[in-house]
Amino acid sequence: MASVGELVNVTRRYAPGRFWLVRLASVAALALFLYFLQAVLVPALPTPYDARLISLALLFASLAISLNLINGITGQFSIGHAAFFLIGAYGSARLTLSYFEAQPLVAGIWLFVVAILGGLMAAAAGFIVGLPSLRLRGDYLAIVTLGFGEIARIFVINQTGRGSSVAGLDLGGSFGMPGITLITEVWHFALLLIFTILVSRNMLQTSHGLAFLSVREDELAAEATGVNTTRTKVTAFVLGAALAGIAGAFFAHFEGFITPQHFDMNASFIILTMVVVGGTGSITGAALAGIALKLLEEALRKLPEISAIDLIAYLVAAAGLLLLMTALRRNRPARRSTPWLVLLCAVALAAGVGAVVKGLSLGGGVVGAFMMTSGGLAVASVLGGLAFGFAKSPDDPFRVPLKALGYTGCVGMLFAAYLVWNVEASVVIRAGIGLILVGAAASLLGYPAGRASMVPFGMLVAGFLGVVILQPVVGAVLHSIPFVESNLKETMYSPSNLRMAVFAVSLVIVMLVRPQGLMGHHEFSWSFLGKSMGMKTKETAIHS
Amino acid sequence: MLGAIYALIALGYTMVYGVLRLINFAHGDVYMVGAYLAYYTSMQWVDRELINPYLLLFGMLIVSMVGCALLGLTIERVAYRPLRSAPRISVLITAIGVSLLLEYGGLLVFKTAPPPSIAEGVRGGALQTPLVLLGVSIDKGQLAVLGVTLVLMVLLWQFVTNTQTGRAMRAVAHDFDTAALMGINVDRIVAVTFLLGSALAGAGGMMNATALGTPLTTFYGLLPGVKAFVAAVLGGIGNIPGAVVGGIILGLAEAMVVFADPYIPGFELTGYKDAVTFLILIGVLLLKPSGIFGSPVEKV
Amino acid sequence: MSLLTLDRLTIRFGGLVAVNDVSFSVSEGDLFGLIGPNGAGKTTCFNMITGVYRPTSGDVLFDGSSIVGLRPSRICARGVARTFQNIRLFSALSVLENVVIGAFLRHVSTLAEAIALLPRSLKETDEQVIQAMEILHTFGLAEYADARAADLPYGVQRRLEIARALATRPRLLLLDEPAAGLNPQESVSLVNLIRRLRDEFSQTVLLIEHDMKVVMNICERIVVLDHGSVIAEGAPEQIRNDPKVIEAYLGEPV
Repeated sequence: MASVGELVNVTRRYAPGRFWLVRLASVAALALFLYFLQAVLVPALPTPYDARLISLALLFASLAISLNLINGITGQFSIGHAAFFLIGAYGSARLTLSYFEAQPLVAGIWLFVVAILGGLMAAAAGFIVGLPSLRLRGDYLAIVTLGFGEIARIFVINQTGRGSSVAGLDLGGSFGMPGITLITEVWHFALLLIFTILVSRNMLQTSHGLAFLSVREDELAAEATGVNTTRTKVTAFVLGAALAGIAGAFFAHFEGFITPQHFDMNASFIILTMVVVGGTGSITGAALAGIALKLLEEALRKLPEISAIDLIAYLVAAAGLLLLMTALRRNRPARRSTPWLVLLCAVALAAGVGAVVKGLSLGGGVVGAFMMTSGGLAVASVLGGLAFGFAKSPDDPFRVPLKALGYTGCVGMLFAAYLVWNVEASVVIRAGIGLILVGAAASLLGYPAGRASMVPFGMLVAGFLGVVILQPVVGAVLHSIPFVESNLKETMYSPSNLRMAVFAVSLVIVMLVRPQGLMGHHEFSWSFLGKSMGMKTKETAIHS
Repeated sequence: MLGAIYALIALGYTMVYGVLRLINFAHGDVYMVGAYLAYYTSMQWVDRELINPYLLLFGMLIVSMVGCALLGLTIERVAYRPLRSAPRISVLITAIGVSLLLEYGGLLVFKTAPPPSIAEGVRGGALQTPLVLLGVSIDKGQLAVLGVTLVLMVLLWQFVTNTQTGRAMRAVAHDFDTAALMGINVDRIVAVTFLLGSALAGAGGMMNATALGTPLTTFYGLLPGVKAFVAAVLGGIGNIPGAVVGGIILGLAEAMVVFADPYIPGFELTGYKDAVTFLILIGVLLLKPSGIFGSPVEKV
Repeated sequence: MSLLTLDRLTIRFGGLVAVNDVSFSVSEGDLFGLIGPNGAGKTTCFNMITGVYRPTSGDVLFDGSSIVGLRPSRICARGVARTFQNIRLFSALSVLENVVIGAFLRHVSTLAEAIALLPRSLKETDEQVIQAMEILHTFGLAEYADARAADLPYGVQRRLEIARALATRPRLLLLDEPAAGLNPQESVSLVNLIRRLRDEFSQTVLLIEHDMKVVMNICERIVVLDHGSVIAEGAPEQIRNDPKVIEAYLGEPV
């Protein structure tokens, strides 16, 4: 009989005194943290814009997690999530506009009341949307959720208090609802995020969460094992919707002014992208992706204008390299992929040399130093790696330089984080992006799984370098095409318009390269049994 | 007439779904590209009085169809083919991504401010004088659209039923793996499907933009795309005549909503006309998911 | 005492009658076999018993009451568990998690309690984990407890599926071709396992199987289906020599 481990006294964890003590302590800690956040951190921020950034990032992280409940954990496909966000926002706003003045509660309490009501309204909607899940397969359900999202939006647009309104309901129509009392602060959003995480995580810590996961894995088998799949699916929708609705209420009282445009299909897609990129099924992934993408979006607003031709050049170069990489993914056998690998190495080498040259030409300064060092490192990795590779494994020498490139890439990311920190931008953006870069580099270097994926990462780095060198080349080519030259020469684009395009691109890239998202199904393996609960069963009690 | 346009787009959806079991979200945006291509083509010649307006229209149609066909091929090659074996959810998400890409990428490439519309000179001219038939005055433009649509559909039908490629398409739609095992080059068939579907969408885009003269934005195709999808589902997804019927029914339903508006006092119905589409969708999916002509959806 | 009774069970798919007027009874403690050539309708019968399909006519009685029209999860709650012909495990979950889902069936705590992380809920989860571990020990799967279900060898996956079904504490176990794809040694272990299930765990077992050795070794009563109808019923010896059965399998009278 295999030995399973030591004894863990199961009941000790639940001794009432200890349990409630721990609970109380956590609540106290939470309260302290929120207080610290609001009273100390926020005033310390340079501008109100920073506080706004943090709030929005937290908000979208919460939305991403609420969608993750439906899509990632229960495996349903809901692409109209913004509808629940909308219902919570509009519902609570309507209540506030009509009743807030006339009632006795103080603003802070009122916000919670109205948030709960908004959440309930959204939950009801979630119930309605979840019901068809009884009869519908994945893609069809997706379209229904999309349709519902649109119906909700169209409904709101038509509620103008006149003409097309139902019972004279006035939701401001397509112009929106202004004048909502501003109540929400940063700490509300932090609380929201923590609450959302708790709900998801707690669920997953018990076997109830497993039921949801089983529906995702195999509905038929789940049903045969006693899980009422319809009830589970509807519950997922209701929960996800409720959380989004509460978020909506908070949002409405933060902005003070909501319009249907805030909640259109794009909003749904943005949230969906966050869940997909972060990893379906992973709470941390969804949260991180939510924060990261939101910050990225805001950061893009601040970038200088870019000429259309340059931009298209970037896109073409990137597209070409992306194709290259997907081709590589398909061609597993070393033989056929060799020419591509050579190409990547060559590209990296060229870029490295170019960077060194450019760095030298810039003279001193941080950027110059950065370019020289990273360029130099790139060259060194490729050449050194090649030498090493040929020596070590003559049949397939190109993986080694790529691996070295990967490590260089990590170092480069750390450098980049430093550079970002010195850029002119909101401290939140700088900190956020810097942390993401550092975190990514750290996980690549620190975790065995990360180190194992160093070769593909190296390819990614090479690809990135490739885009950098190819872009001027493609640009020159484009300039020489008369049609393009005449029409687009003058056009400049501000990156803020590119936000959605960036989302779209990242979505497609993630799908092509790593469909299960960055954190994949990683999380729940340590969210539940065995390890996390420290659960090793008692050997003796079971087997004599 | 609107129904005819929906039908054209729906045909593309239905064909792609039949073959790949994929809801091609980007299809509506292909339609949009078709409209833009038509616009640019018309701009090339709008000042030259020499060209016969009919020829110009025909030229625009061809350009739109060919351009969109190429676009469809590219999308399939780049975005969908690598994901052939991935779970359907991934492909659906990618489709959404491509759709977004076309819309926002289009913002960069196409002129959008002010939103262009196909010039009067092009639309008018030959088609402006209405045809009077049995005392009812019919807009020649709408008639032309109907006519062209019918022709295209008949051509498609012939192709699918009578040519070898067409038969291969139906085989693949029926059973992907077996068809591959039987020696059919599924990649090629899928490519052809996309080509045809996109060409039809392009035609639809060109015609809609020309006949109605609505200002073009890159989101022009979004709503019609979704509505066309509903039409395809209504008629039975994967079923070609079904798509046509679905499109027509949808077009009629929308027209009826607008038509009925004055008759319902105190309540403006017109604003809800888009919602009608979605309500129909939900109704169909709940009552008869296989659509009017479709075969029953398997359960287990 | 009859545990499961099929009473003139019939199902039509369009024009095709897949199962035609099938009746038989399984008593408590039986080791019952359902055999027949491919396409005879055996899995379809299973699907009707477990509520996946709704019969066109006829009835299925479990423990005296009709279970036709109930959803599969309800039928499972009543005490009917099954495995599938093509193994359907929860692939991304661990072995332990797969089995716990079975134990989850008999849960008492609500989702709200779980979200609030109330002690009652945690305690129940722990108990379910313990139950699951016990079952894993019984099946010799304890060493795989944290392994991903998809990574397991085929024979182990089969065992896991049965373990998961057992975790729901059924009274009747439906096994759909449990020996498919197993090598001879694995088949022998399977036979022993199934016997143990009946002897030690008082399971009533109804199994579909193609492998004659397994069937003849385990089953105490057998029903033979061909083209949707029952063509023979009885003890293994009778069935082995029944000319109709031989004809069905070989296609010609002997």
